[in-house]
Amino acid sequence: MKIGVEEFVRQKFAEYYHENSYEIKPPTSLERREFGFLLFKDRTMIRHKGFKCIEELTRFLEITIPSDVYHSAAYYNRPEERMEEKGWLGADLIFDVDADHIETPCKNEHDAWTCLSCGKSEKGPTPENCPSCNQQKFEERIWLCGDCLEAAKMETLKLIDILLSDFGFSNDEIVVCFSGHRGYHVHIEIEEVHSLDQLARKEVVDFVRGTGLDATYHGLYEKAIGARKMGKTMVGPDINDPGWRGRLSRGVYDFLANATLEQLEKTGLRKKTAGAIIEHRESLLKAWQTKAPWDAVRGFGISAWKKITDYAIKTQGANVDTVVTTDIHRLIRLPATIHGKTGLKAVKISVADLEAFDPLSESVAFTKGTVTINVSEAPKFRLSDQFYGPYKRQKVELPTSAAMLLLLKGCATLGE
Amino acid sequence: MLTSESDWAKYPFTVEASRYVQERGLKIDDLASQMYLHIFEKAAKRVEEAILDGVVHMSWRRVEDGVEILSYPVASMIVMAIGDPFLKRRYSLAEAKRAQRLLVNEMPRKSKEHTLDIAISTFNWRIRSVDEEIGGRYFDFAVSFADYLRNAAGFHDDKWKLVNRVVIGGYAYLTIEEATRLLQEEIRKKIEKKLEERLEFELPPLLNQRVEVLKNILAQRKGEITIEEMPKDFIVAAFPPCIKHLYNATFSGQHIPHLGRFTLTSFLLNTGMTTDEVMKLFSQLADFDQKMTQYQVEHIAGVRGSRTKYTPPNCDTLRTHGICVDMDELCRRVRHPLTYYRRKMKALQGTRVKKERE
Repeated sequence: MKIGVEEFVRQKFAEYYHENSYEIKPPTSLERREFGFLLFKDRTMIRHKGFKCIEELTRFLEITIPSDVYHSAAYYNRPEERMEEKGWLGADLIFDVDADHIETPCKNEHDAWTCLSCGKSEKGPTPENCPSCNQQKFEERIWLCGDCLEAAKMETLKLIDILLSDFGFSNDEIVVCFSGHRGYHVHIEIEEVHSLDQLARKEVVDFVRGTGLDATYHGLYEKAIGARKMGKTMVGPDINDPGWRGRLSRGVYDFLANATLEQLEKTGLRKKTAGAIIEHRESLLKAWQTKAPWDAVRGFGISAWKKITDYAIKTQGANVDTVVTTDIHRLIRLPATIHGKTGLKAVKISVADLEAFDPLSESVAFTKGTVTINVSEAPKFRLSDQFYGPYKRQKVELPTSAAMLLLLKGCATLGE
Repeated sequence: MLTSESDWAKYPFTVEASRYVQERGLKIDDLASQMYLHIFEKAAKRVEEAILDGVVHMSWRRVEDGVEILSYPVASMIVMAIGDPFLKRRYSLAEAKRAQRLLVNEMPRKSKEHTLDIAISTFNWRIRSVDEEIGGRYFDFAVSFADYLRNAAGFHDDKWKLVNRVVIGGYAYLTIEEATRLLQEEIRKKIEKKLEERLEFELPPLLNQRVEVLKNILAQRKGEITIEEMPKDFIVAAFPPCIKHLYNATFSGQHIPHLGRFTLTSFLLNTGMTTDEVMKLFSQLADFDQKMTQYQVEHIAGVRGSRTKYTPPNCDTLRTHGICVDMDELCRRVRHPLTYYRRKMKALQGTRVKKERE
């Protein structure tokens, strides 16, 4: 960030924390949490801070004016000590759903990368290796967009359904937060989960994502029939079954209802079988609502079905980050503080409000005034109900929130 | 509630049984007295069976309940006096197995009642008795997912993975066999923790002879349980597919995620590679940072920081984080990349010997 820009955005952050500190609510047992802050200056990270009360924390924010504010999901005896001496007491169960990990077609429109060695530049998600020089250092432009955030929200809703129905948490035990950038965080703070160790949390992540799921444990098997057990019939779970049983059945139904010939073949099915599915799709879907759907495709044995259930697992599971949940010392963004890459604030949302939540308007933090900036390049984007751009090498006067986004993203400088 | 002496004899680790023991006011010095000698002998037998058979036998029928109950805390004292960590683990498991077998062998109604009693009053589980058929399977219990995971998360069989269980409203559904198996793990942990307590005491000298005999049996048994030793030179051909993949990716200068680097580093260090050799390998990486890499590699090797030498994550964890690739036949039979390596190494060396003979 250019010096002038840094001073300017820091000033804006200062005003925000000065005027809105009442909006910042303490996490449960604030005095047992470790806090961490990212500073504007040199992007330095301060860790191992502890506070006695919320006033002490907000005063610290007003004086220090960090670009990002985090607190530990863990509770410690001595939050300010070094890691080994903190005395871990337990941790909230947290989940991170990040649009970066979800494939969305719009990334080809708004994301871009530039290879730092050969200068090649293209739109779309950053590749592992540069296609022209094979190097791996890139400058990325990752944009925040309504479609990507919608995809992240869908994953979050899937996660919440699993937390409610399978894990039995209640609506008010689940805290959802928009991160202020590309995703959602979900916190479970009730005492029952505090003592879960890494191994147990790994099992929870695997459950939520469907990793390691074997459909035979959920009622999918070949049953021998007839007096001499010569014949075989397929038995499987029902659409209305609880938990992963029902999810498997619904996932397969969705897949059969929508898959193209190409997608069917991609699961590893033979061409003939895939063709037969397309041809008899109507009667197949009808059969799915009766009692014996898994037997409706002749010659479809357990291995063929497992190829399709594997696909169903991917669509029915919630795509959460595996590392965040299993890390029992993780720092996570504090709600109502500003995200240093966007100027949007992290917002706490109740489960009931999530579906209708619009991250691009409800997270706007800088609501007053306009700023004139020189934009080098930016795709079309939306904040609140207003669309902006695309811009290329032009001077524009924008509402402060939009200007802050472009300044923080590094694609604009201050105008005269 | 477990109300009879014969129940306490069967399940001496329960709160009810330990209350009984406390009321008896057993003292260490009493042990050598004639009156207590058969209690001591029974206790020694418990330890001996644990060493030799891996399970304490269900002999509660043959002796008086009182003797049986008191022999349990005395056996703990013997194990603590010997102080061997291997014995502590083996004895805890043997006692836990005994309890599990006793539970499933009770009359059906008693079996369910006792399992529930022990789970609730001794271990504070959130568990309830059910009588439900779900998807063609019959279940006896529903236990809270947290209590389930605290014990089953370490089990290796796929059927214990939470994602492969019936889980509804925060409860995992279990058969009586499964519930007692889960309880066995809880019992084992409780006993092992108890044996870790530091108690200053000395057994009466009169009993030393019997303890010496136990020590001998233990030494013999430990000799038989051979520990697979790690071969000295590392051979890429014996790497499991996940490590091979990480290794090749590193050599060709590709980016590997943090956990991948950790896995590869800890694996290589455990196969006998030196930190310098590992550093050399990583210098191929595009984003190689000498100082940072040195710090991290030395950390994993245990020469820095917490001083623990790390081993790579197990297969389960690697699968969770998408590092497990191209599983082969041997992969299906192991749970840890280092086990794969040792076995493959053995197999490779075997074929080499054969070839030389030909």
